[in-house]
Order: sequence, then C-alpha cells, then structure tokens
Amino acid sequence: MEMEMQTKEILELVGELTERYTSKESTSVTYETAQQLMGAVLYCIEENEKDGSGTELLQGQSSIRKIYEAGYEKVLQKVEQARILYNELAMDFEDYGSRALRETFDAIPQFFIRYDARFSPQNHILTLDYPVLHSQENLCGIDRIYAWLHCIRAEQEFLRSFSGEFVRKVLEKFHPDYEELFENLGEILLRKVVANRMLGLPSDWEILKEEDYQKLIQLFGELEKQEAEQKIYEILEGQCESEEQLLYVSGAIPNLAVGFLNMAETGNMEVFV
Amino acid sequence: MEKRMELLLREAEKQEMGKILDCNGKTARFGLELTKEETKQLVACEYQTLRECGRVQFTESILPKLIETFCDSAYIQREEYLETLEELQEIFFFYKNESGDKLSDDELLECMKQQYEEVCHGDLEYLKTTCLAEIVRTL
Repeated sequence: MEMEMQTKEILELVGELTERYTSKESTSVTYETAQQLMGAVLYCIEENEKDGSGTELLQGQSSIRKIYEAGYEKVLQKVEQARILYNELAMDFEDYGSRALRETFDAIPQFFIRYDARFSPQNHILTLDYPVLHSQENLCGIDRIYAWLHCIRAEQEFLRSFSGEFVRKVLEKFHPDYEELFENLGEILLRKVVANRMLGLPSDWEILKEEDYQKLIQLFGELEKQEAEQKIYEILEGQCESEEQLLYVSGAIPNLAVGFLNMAETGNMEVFV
Repeated sequence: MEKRMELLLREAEKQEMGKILDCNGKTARFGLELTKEETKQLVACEYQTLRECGRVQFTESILPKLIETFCDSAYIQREEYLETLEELQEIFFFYKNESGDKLSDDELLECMKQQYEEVCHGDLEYLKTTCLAEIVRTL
C-alpha cells in the first residue's frame, strides 16, 4: 500500500513536470520524453537519498514531493560546487600536452551552460573522453561531472608533486606521440614511480639501466597478483600527499599489478616502464 | 521504470472515462452521445493508438477536447460517431509525432477541424493522407 502511494505520488510529479515541459500545450509526449521526465524525478529523489535523507522516505515521514524538491535543490547545489571546483582547477590547470585532457577539460563550461537540472538532470551532456582512474560508468548527470572533476583535482595534485619536465620525459618515453593518445597521464607516471620505488630509487629517478629492469623482473616474478597489489599500494601510500590522492591513484593498482606481472613473465619490462 | 510507466498509463485511463462521459452534456444538442460502453471502447482505442505511436498521456486525455472541437460538424452522424472519433484521435496522435511536437494540441486540433470542414468535407482519409501531411511538411 505504501509503495503504491509512493508510485502514485511519483506519477503525479511526472505529470506535473510534463505540464511544465510542454507549457501545458500538449497533453501527451513521446515515450522517450516521458522516460526522460520520469528519470528526472527519480534522479532527484535518489540524489536526496545519497546523504541518508532517504531514510525519511522509508519511514514515511516525508512526502515524495518534499523529497523530490529537496533532491532537486541538492542537484543545484552540486552544480554550483562543481562550478567552483572547475574554476579552482582552471587557475593552474596543466595538460602536459595531452590533447584529450585539454579538450575534455575545456568542454566542461559547455556542461554548465547546457545542463538542465529540472527536466534532464540525469544527462551529463559531455562524453568526458579523457579517462580517469575510477570508472564513472555507474554515474550520470551532475554526479558524473562532479566525480570526474574530483578525479582530475587528485590527478593534477599528484602530477604536480613532480617537476613538469620529469612528467613530460616519462610521457615521451611511454610514447613519442603521447599528446594524441587517450591515455591517463597519472597511470603512465605511476608505472615509473612504482618501478623506481621498487628499486629503492627516488620516485623521480629518470634513467633505468638494464640491470634495473632485470631486478624488476626478478622482484615482480616472485609476487602473486595480490602481493603485487599490496606492494604497489604501500608504495602509493608513501607517495601520496593526501587521502584524496591515494584514493584516486589506487584506482590504477589492478592495472599496474597485472602490467608489472605480465612484463616480469615475458621479460619485457623496458617496454612497460 | 517500465512498470512505473505502465502504472502511469492505467491511472490516467481510470480518470478519463468520467471526463468523456461528461462531454455528452455538450454534444447532445448536436445529436451526438456516447454510451458508457462506447466510451470504454474509445478509451481503449486511444491507448492502443498511444502505444502504437509511442506516446504517453499524463494528467488528462485529448479526447474531451477532440469531442468538443468536432461535435458541431455537419459531417459527423450519430451512427458513425464512435468510428469517426476513433479515426480522428488516430490522426491526431499520428500528426503529433509527424510534426515533431511542434504543434500544440490546440493548434493541431484547430488545423484538423479547419481542413476537415473546409477542404476535406468530412473525408477522413483525405485529411490524413493529404491535407495534414502537406501542412506538416511546411513546418
């Protein structure tokens, strides 16, 4: 019964939103539009539930309408927070020559111009082509953009803990045309950092010799995947300057572990680092 | 999501019957009335059309407005009243889609009525296949 009431309330909200959408000039909309508007209502309701306010819904203390409106306000607040974060990042943003990073970052203002929190809050508009170390697949709308910006903030801080010259040299060693690749810069740098630290060298050590690569093959050759992941985590823990940075770069651990283990197995460590 | 959409359709359907029957008060003077059974049939037909056209109706149905718009037409007789309404609503939703929702309900109804009376002289086939198609093409 409770569920039926909630569904009825949601449907009423969708109906009202449809009236606003069509300016009361049309009693019907296409199925796609109806789904979009239903999605808009559910997105705001879920947005409100994310910080625990959703328990009110379960206990029947708030009407769906109130929860929806509160969620809508939270969406607007998040957009504002994202805008502030973007502007902060833009002040000293460094793309290290990566076209994908520069173009994706430069496209963000388009999101703020075109985002429709009322009728389509679940649409993030942009494709966010530059890959970050945490999957954004389960996020949409402002949540996706905000999470991406947080990732970029952590990545920028991480990259900035090294000299720009060092970062560019590592990227060039990875691929002479790295500027044109859709690769995460942080992950490329992390390979180098992990290798250096495994060898007991400073994180920003530039040139590795043949015997260094052989030692890496030996070191990773002795490890199981889980052990390699643990070892890499410990290295990153010592390297990162904040919890946010560590949380972010930890997203690369599975790939790094598999990469190092594969290279140890095939003896091609120089290709990887 | 799909289940909610279905519930939404059913909820609207319940409310619709009463509003259509209320129209009889206005159409009776033109000799046009729908029985409860015919109303049920018309609503079922409308929902069938909505599904076929991939459209959803929320707070109210277009049928009362459609009935009020066309009830004074000399081309509609009692014997074919239900059948005519069924065809008119099909044409309406078809051209809502065809126009890409550029025409409001009122604009489309006005356009349909004017063409039906002055150009088609009650020929629904001509209205659907020729007159409205030409108008929508120019939008």
